[in-house]
Amino acid sequence: MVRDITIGQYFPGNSVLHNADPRLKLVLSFVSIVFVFVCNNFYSLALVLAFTVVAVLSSRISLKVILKGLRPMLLLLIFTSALQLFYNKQGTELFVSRFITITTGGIFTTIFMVVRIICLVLLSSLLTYTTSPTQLTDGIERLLSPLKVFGLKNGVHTLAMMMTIALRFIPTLIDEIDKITNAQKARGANFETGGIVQRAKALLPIFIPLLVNSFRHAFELSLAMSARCYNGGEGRTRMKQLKLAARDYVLMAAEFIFVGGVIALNIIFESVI
Amino acid sequence: MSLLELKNVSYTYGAGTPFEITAIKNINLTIEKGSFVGIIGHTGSGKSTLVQHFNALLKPTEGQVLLNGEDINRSKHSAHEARFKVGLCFQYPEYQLFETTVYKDIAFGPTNMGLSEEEIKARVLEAAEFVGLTDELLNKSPFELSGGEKRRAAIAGIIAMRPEVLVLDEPTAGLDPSGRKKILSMICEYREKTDSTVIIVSHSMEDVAAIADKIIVMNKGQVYKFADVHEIFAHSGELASLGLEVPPVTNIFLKLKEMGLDIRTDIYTKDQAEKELLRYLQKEGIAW
Amino acid sequence: MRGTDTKENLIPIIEFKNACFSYDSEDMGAELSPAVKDINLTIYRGEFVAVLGHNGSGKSTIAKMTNAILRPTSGKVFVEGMDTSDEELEIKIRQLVGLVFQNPDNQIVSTIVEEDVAFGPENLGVPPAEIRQRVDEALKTVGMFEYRFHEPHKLSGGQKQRVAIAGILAMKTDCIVLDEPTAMLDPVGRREVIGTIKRLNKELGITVVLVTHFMDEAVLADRIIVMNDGTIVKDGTPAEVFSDVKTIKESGLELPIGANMAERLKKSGINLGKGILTAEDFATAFSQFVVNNR
Repeated sequence: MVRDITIGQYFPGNSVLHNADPRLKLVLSFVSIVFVFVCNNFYSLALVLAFTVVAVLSSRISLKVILKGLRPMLLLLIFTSALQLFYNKQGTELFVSRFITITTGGIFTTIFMVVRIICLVLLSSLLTYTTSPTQLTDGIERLLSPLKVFGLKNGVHTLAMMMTIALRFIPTLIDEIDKITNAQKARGANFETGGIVQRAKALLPIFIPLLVNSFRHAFELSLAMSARCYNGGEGRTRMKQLKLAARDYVLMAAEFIFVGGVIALNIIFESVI
Repeated sequence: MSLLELKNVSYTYGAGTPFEITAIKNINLTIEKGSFVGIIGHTGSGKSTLVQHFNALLKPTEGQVLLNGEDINRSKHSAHEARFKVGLCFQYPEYQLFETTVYKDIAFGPTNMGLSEEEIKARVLEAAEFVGLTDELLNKSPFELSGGEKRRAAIAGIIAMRPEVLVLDEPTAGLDPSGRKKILSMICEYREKTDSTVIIVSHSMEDVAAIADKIIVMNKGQVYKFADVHEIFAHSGELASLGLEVPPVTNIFLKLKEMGLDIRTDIYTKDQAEKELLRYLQKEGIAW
Repeated sequence: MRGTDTKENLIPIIEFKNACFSYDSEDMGAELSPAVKDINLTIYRGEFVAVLGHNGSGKSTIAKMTNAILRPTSGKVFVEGMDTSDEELEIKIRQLVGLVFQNPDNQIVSTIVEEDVAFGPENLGVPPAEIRQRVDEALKTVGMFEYRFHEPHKLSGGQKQRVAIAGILAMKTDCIVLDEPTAMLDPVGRREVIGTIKRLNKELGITVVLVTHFMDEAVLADRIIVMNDGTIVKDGTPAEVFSDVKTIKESGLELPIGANMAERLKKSGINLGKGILTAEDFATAFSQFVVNNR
């Protein structure tokens, strides 16, 4: 049974984020994340949180999925919060005991840390939730293409081609692993018992055919690509043109407002951490 | 005495998830010892899922699989043992070879069975002989063999386990006419010599009609019919309605019937065809 | 009229002149031998040619020599007068002769069907708007337009092969060579692909060279070339080729069902006439025989 695995989970949809230019999304995600860490008072923090919430809502991805994505962070958050809350000694002391000290500094830092981590995870997940691996590869390739100035264009294209082919073959290879595993199990192979060394050895009957088959795939694919006149990145055109549309400008404007707001609020109000 | 029995077997992939698919449903089958069974059906009819239940690779979500009267899934151990009693050879088995020599690869099954070195050697040589691999080839790396030799080596790897039931999924896939003939006659010879039960899954009606005694017709995850080969091909119209093709020779008689000739249509081998055509001419008093 | 007897209106597109090929066993695995020797062959525009042979007869090698994937180790292969051994002409040659391979999976490069079909034209530097047009047209021609946004790995074998064919169509080649395109497909897939290939030749006038070991596919062609152990042993219409039972058997092949049954009856003294190839041919000839001899 072929299992659908996509890098960083992609959820197809038709929201403004889904339809935005992937290059823009890459840049905006990066910028947004940077500014999540720039905010230093409760007002700018509130803006960061509000911005993140608006972004999540505009992706129209179900809340269930979003919360599921935060689950892995829960343990980390609780642990580091506890550390900050009980051992941070800055600011006014509120409660002192033999083992722990709770201070205003501790409380503030904890709040900032928790909110920042949540926003960081949400914003980066949004990128992969709303952008297919193919679009991401495309976006990265086109963003990096100015590097051709340094003679790196072919490198950029080759990298993008490699990523595309890898993405294309991941499901096929997963299917093959299934088939090979079943075939070896049918001859009594046991992958479940034994210590580490034994289990590693037991994987050889899967790994070797997979490797050999992969070379065969690669070789035959290279012939097929040559037959279709593939000759590297030189002179290649693209059917799909990436053009910024109205919605992309709206997103850019929103980002400017966000960035401007964070900076302004940082200046107007005093830093709290 | 029934060798392999399936009782109300159903299998659902991804049970409980939003992606669940019931691949086979309410399968009831009894396969007698020594029979030669062909399994036919369109792609997606559940053939692959079905055969993976014979050797406990898949555990039914409902129902039981009995081998010699005992449930093969009663314990992890029994499931593991079932793999040696029911040898399953997948499609394009040549893509599973991995050892450094052909000998070692064929020995993989027997080694997993925990047999002694002498016993393993005896079985490997026996299996290699069955499939027509020379001693010279046994010492080579499997990756040096030709496609046909690789396939035979892979089949030898299953035969070396001396399974009571040999199951082959599309053994002739990708082979040219003479390759197909060779593999099929090899399978028939194997069955004769070892008296084992053989099950073949195939898309080739011609192949199945020529060698099987009984046929299971799968359709949309269920057993549509399980009967003697003659019974199945006597109703070739039914097969057509399931989206299956009839053996090419049967087409001739279906067309002759269409043209108004009073001729039998339950013909599925060329020998039968020749006989029936001559019989028809004699019956109609036509001289030649 | 096609075939070897009347050649006036026939324009050669691919020509083999004393071409030979040997695999250097160090470059390629044992899988891919053997050699082909002294191939003299002309494929004419608009033809539907089948290259028939047992596994290892050299038919795949011939296929790969038609568009410079393999270059002859001696002798020459010309595509519209261009020498396939000339590396500079490679791209031009491949714009005339497209090649579809046996394994449907190992031809698809992209994660979306329409992007894969666009791969060829993109490589040729075709302007984006035109690529769009070609891709849509090609997908419609092979009947896969509704699947244009689908992921290739979810398609059936027959569907994948049709996408591969669309990829070549989008390059607007004059000739398509298909190397055992149905060998790995189930009967439904085979029907889909062969039906598509027939249409390309009959309706679009594309020259088709179909390498196969299936007799029931070969009979659909205008001309069959039989290969055995690296050489061409027969070249003619299906009727001509399959009436030479001796050569067919020696080449490790079988007769198509109609011809097979007609041969059997001949041994009993019943002659149903010539040119019987398919089940239909046989049924027609047999019932005619019955009528004539009552």
